[in-house]
Amino acid sequence: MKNYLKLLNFEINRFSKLYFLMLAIIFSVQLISVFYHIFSYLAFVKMETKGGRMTPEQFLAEHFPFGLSNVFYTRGFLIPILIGVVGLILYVFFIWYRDWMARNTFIYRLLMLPTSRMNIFYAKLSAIMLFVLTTVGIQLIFLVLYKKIIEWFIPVVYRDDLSITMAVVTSPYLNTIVPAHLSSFFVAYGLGLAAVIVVFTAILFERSFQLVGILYGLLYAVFSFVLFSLPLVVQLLMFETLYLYADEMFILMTAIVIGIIVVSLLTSRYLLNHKVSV
Amino acid sequence: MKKYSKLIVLTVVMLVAWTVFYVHAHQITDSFVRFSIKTIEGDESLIEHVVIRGDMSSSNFTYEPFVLTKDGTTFMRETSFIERISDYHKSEKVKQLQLKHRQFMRGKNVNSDNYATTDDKIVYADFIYSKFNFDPEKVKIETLDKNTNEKKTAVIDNPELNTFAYIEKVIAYDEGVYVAVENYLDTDYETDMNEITWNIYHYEFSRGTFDEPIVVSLGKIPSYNNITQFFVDDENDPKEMIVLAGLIDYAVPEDEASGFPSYEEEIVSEYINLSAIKKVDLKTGNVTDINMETDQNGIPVGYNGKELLFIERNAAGLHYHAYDIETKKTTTIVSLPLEGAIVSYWDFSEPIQDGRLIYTLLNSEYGDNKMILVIDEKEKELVYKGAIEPDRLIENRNGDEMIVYFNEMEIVD
Repeated sequence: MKNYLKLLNFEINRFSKLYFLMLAIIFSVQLISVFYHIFSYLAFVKMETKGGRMTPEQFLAEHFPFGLSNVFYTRGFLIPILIGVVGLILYVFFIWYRDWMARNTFIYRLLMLPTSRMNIFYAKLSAIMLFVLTTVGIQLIFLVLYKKIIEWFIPVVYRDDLSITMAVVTSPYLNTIVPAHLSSFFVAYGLGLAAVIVVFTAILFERSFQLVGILYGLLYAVFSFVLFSLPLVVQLLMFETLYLYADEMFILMTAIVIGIIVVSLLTSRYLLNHKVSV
Repeated sequence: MKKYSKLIVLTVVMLVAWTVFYVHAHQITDSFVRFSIKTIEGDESLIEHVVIRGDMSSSNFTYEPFVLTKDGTTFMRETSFIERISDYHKSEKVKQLQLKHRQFMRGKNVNSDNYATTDDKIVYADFIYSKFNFDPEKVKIETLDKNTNEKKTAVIDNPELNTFAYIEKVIAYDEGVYVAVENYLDTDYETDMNEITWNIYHYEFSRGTFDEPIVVSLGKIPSYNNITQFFVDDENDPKEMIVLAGLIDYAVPEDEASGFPSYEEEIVSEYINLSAIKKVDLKTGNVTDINMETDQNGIPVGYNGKELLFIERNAAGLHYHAYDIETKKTTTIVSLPLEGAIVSYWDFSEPIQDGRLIYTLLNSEYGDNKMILVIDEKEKELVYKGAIEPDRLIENRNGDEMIVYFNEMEIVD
């Protein structure tokens, strides 16, 4: 456990500069976007109500009040999230390859450590999950700031004071990264964890068998995806409808995902202990 | 410890942010308006099995479906993960059948119109589609004996149905089953009129065969605003069937030059224009036209074997009328004042028949007229009147009015 924590801390420290830079980019772009939309809205209100042409009530009968939800649908808010998602997906590969590709083959030292090699695997996996969950967590904290900014600048009469939680759970985009229910959170991020484990195994195939390893890795990833989709595909092909009930499907697919995770971990352990070369 | 500072900070931030969010998300329905059914008059036990589906929204960004029963309101987000992913919007009747008869219900359509139940049987009807076009190639009936769990299947090979055909009702009785299908023959896109027939298929359990279908032509009816209804004299022993077609029409304003009517004026000008009323003798297959010699009609809600029942709304309130097919006389069963509220014919949900009781849900978008009315079609009397009431003023945090719809009512076992 101590070795695992040391390795995890090591991974966090190694990526922290890039990670904080990514956070700075994401949230400064979002912040600029929030201000831009607030001032655009205020300018629009001013133009429409200039010289008493419209009362606030008349304005609101024709236009929406301004709230967090207005910000959620803007490119300035969504593109930074996309940058974060792409950045973390790239990091899934980067976290392994930089150990081989750097000037000094750092993987030498890692593999020679007097600890189980799977600790390296678990540390990298935990680092990725921690970065993903923290990024989304910080996004939630920044929503509090955005809401406060909206309250400071937009007069109450033009404001939609939807709570942060309500705005998040009813936004189709944010709902993807922040599931509305705790149960959905475990399902969504559990699937994400399984996907990262499969990709790690594929990377280890490539690192173990070089060129032909790319093929093994791809085949393994495709095989895992096909296995996961099998219950759905078989039902639709055989019965042209969903033959299994939702609870049965959930149990079956959970069992398949757990199976994929176990096989991936065992395969990764085998590859790390016997095949991976520097 | 300092060595681990980044790891600790990231972990704490992550845990605090997510925990606070899910604690809030768990309590989110506390801020929602809840509804209950308040009995105004009649026997409260009549609503014991009533389930109403609705949804509410406060702006473009919030939407929350819910279910209302005599025990109160349950929002979708209060249900379990499995309930949420297993087609939350499907009928409660189908949900109950799936719970009690898992094997029989496996892989079947979740439309409640495709099912009928008796004390001993569950009957399911559905189409089998052709591989080469979208027309139903066969009509399939599956029955399950609840006592023996014996399953039987019967098939009509060539039902002569078009692409747009829908199973509207399955009526099961001790000896057999009727399947009523609405069949769109032709659509005139210039006038937006559809030529429609209702095909009635009969299957007798003891013979194990289908009779020739009874085809009831309803002529051409508009694609929009139309209403088609179907009633039997007695669901436990059907001998006659009534099929009605018509539309919710609007009277031409006296002063056409005054421009578009207001919403209130439009509602006042609504009337029911019944274009076809057909009586079907289920034994002989004879179809006779019924010409109503009165304009005192309304939304058709039932047929008691002698009289057609309608619910009419006008300035004086709501009125249940009974039109005697033989004597061609209309009697008013019950009149209910509406206290100046605006009620449109669009505010009535599909009437529900439960034995001799007819349930009507009135879902007026404006005002407080959201109510459940139950009449006994044989005794011709109002046996229940209840109001759907919110536990507080229906408004969101900004004081804007929330829009609440009660979309569908069901009676479950």
